[in-house]
Amino acid sequence: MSDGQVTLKHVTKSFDGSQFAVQDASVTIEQGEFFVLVGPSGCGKSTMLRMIAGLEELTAGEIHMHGRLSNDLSPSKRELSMVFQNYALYPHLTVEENILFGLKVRKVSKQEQRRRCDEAVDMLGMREYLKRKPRELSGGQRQRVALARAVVSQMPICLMDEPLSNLDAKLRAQMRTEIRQLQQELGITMIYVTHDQVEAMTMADRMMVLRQGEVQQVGRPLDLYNHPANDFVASFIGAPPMNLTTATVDNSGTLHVPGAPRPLVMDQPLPAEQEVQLGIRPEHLHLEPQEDSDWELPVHLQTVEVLGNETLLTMDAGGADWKAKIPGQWSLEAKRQAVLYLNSSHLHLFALDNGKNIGASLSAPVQEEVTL
Amino acid sequence: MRKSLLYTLLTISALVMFFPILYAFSVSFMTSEDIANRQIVPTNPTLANYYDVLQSVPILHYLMNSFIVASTATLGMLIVSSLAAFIFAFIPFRGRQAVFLLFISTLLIPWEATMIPNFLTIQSLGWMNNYLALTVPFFALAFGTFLLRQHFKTVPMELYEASRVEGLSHFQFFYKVVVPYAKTSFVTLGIFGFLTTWNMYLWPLLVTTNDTVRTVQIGLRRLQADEVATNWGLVMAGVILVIVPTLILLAAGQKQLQKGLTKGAVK
Amino acid sequence: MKQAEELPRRVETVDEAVKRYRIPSSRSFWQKTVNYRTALLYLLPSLLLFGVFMFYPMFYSLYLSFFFTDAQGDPTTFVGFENYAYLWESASFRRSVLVTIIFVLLTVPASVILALFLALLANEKLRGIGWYRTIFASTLGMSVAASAVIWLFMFHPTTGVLNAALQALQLPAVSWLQDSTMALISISITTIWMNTGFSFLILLGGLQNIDEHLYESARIDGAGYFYQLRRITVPMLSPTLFFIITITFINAFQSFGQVDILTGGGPAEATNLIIYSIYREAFIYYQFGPASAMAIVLFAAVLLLTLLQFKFGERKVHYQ
Ligand SMILES: Nc1ncnc2c1ncn2[C@@H]1O[C@H](COP(=O)(O)OP(=O)(O)O)[C@@H](O)[C@H]1O
Ligand SMILES: [Mg+2]
Repeated sequence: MSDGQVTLKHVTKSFDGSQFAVQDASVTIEQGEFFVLVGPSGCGKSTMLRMIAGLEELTAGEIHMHGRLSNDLSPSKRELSMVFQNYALYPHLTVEENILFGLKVRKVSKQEQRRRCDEAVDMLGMREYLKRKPRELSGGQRQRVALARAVVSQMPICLMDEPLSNLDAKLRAQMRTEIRQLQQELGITMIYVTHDQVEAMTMADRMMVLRQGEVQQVGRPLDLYNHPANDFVASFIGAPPMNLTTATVDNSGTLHVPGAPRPLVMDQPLPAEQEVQLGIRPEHLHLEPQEDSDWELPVHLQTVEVLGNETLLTMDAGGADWKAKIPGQWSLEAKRQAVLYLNSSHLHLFALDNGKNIGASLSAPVQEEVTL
Repeated sequence: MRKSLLYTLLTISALVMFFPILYAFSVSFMTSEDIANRQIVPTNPTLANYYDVLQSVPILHYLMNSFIVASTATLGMLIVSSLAAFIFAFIPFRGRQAVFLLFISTLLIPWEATMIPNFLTIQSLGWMNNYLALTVPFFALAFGTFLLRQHFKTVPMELYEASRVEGLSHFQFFYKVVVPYAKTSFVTLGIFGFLTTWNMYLWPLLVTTNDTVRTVQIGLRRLQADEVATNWGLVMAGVILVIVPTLILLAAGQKQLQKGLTKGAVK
Repeated sequence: MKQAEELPRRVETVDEAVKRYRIPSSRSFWQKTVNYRTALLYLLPSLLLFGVFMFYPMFYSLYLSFFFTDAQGDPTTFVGFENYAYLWESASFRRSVLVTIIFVLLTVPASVILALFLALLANEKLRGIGWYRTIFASTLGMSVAASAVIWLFMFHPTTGVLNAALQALQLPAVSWLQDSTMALISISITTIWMNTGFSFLILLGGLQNIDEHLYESARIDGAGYFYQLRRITVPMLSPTLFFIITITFINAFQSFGQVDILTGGGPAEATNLIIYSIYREAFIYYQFGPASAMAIVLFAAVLLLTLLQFKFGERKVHYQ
């Protein structure tokens, strides 16, 4: 049973024949999965989604939907619904007519239309404004109408392209939960595009990080967080981003970090005589030695910001700008020396040239298959 | 101070601009003595001129013809132009730009360069004294196509894509989404088309030789040629009958026209 | 990351991706051409009509201009450039050209300036401005026949209101349409009046599209009315002005109805605009050959002038 499954094989798109908008992407999205495409603006997320929708032709590769090769299928035959960033509501139709528009086109019977509409309206709580026109609605209400349109279509796959980016922060958080719940209730496959890594982390079953058309990593949010495949993923996911600095491996395979009194001996043998990037997340740095701390680094504190129950420090660590996020309220003086403590198993190593993660940690959970 | 200056200027301008129309209106109620005495307002207003003009020429018949011609031409213009505009706004194909340029190039072909062969064409089609001759040649209009295309392009591309996902055919998208979305532009072009076809002069003069389909403008010319020496009041009554429909249409649609046409004029 | 090694190397160029992974389309020719077919279907009415009533007659005019024709308009004898030579020699045609040029110079600038003046006045936010706007736009609703007939009466030497006004001011009467100098001026006045409605409406629309903030900041800087007019209004309005000048210009060459009703080209051909002489040549004397030659000359002249106008005028136009 492969209804609702989407498989991309070497999917490639180029608009001008020389530059990639999407470069050789392969992934299988399972039935019922909440799959998020994330990356900075212009990285090819929308292009990939539109290829899945059938709105854009592939330059090369294959798209299989519901287990069938679908490269040449028109959008309406792919059994999917789509929610657009600007909601794409028909301004001349009422909310109700908007919701039923697609069903009318597909010649769904009148009773069935009523039934599905009622169901969706109850699910989204929007009965009061059924007779209004889109321009009389707030952003959040329009968003709901767009969702209702996808719900009534009862398609096994739903595509969303940055559906929350026109909403204010509070509403965005609320809609995030609602969309996630809706997807689980309906049991549909969701392919969701966003540039916001927080959205991706909180909503996704699995996510794909894209950069300039190139797939960086695919996996569960926490796996990407804990085991970023490269320095781009490492700094794209998590806020503040992972701290990076350049370190040197000597001929005995020991790592020398600028400013650090002690070199690091990694559990895994490293190729000798090279420079690498060393990474650590801001939340893994501490101002006092912890039970598991096994390494320390003197830094120069630049600023101290107390944010409620955590404190954000910026500092100069051997020439690199780092940030640390420390639980609790710390009233520290800025512009002075300090020592940070950490556990070396939290350190990540990336190759300097291509950014690839070269020193996987010891106690890592099994990582998803990645096609890089 | 500035306000009263403005009002003065506005009022003087309005009087000057509107004088010919007001004057014609006034004369249409005058007796021939008033006219001979060069009155500005009728001393003894009479409807006799209107009565006489309806008797002397089939002006209602002309009005009817004009109405049929202008409505048909406008409707045809709206349909033909909007179909073409739809393609230029939504359906990409290789060579579309070239076809669009071909359309625009017709703006440079002036009426006078085509009128003789067109007259011969109408003759050989057997369309003389036929509504077809007065309407069909005006169905395709580059200006109208361009104007509608400009408005169609304001339909968000996402609506088009949503309609494709929902399974609408091109034609369904056109009449269920684009037409309602851009209906004000249809009103604009409709008013414009009606005014221009109602006011056509040279072409109806060429392709009508009798009263069957002759429009009111040509009727007016005939009226003037026949009656000028004798009865100006009657001629002016005819003029008023001819201009009232378009003036009403213009007054009603002026705002719409101003907004809609400006958009077409300046990208 | 270990599996990555076993997968084929990721493609580096688009060409390589196409070579390696492109699969043949399963869509039939019929499906692939859906856009072409739709486009053809929707464009067909326009293309057909343009073909029959624009492009074909354009070329047929050119063709006819090299022939003598019979009264039915069928070409009988090929005469080469003789029709053009005939025009060149014809004093009447040269007169027509001269009259047309004078007419264009009399009407185009005056029309545009008058319409701009009215549009500026009517763009003020005043109570009752809607009425003034409707009045200024009213000539757009006036047909050429109705306008010309009204003016014909106003120009009437004895019962006309214009001479009545002159008399009231103790001025001598003017032979508006009978004097060969005055006739062209009278026709121009009528034309300017008729043009105003359309130009006014478009210019007013253009004025209303100018961002209010520009004026506000100018006023804060203490700029006076005429400074704002020169530095903001005219530059911002220039695309609209350019459009209106072009339209008025092209229309001037097509002014037929007013000549036909007011003067019939007289007196002594003093108002015999080219368009009117084409009409007479073709539809009164049935000389389709020379008439077509005139039409071609007129077309070429208008085209050339319009292109020149675009070449030199566009540079001065300020697009946002
Ligand atoms: N229709 C198009 N024609 C040409 N280039 C395009 C088109 N659509 C997108 N692109 C280019 O493809 C790249 C990816 O765009 P997109 O998928 O929209 O990015 P994202 O949605 O991730 O912000 C961008 O560089 C963009 O300029
Ligand atoms: Mg996008």
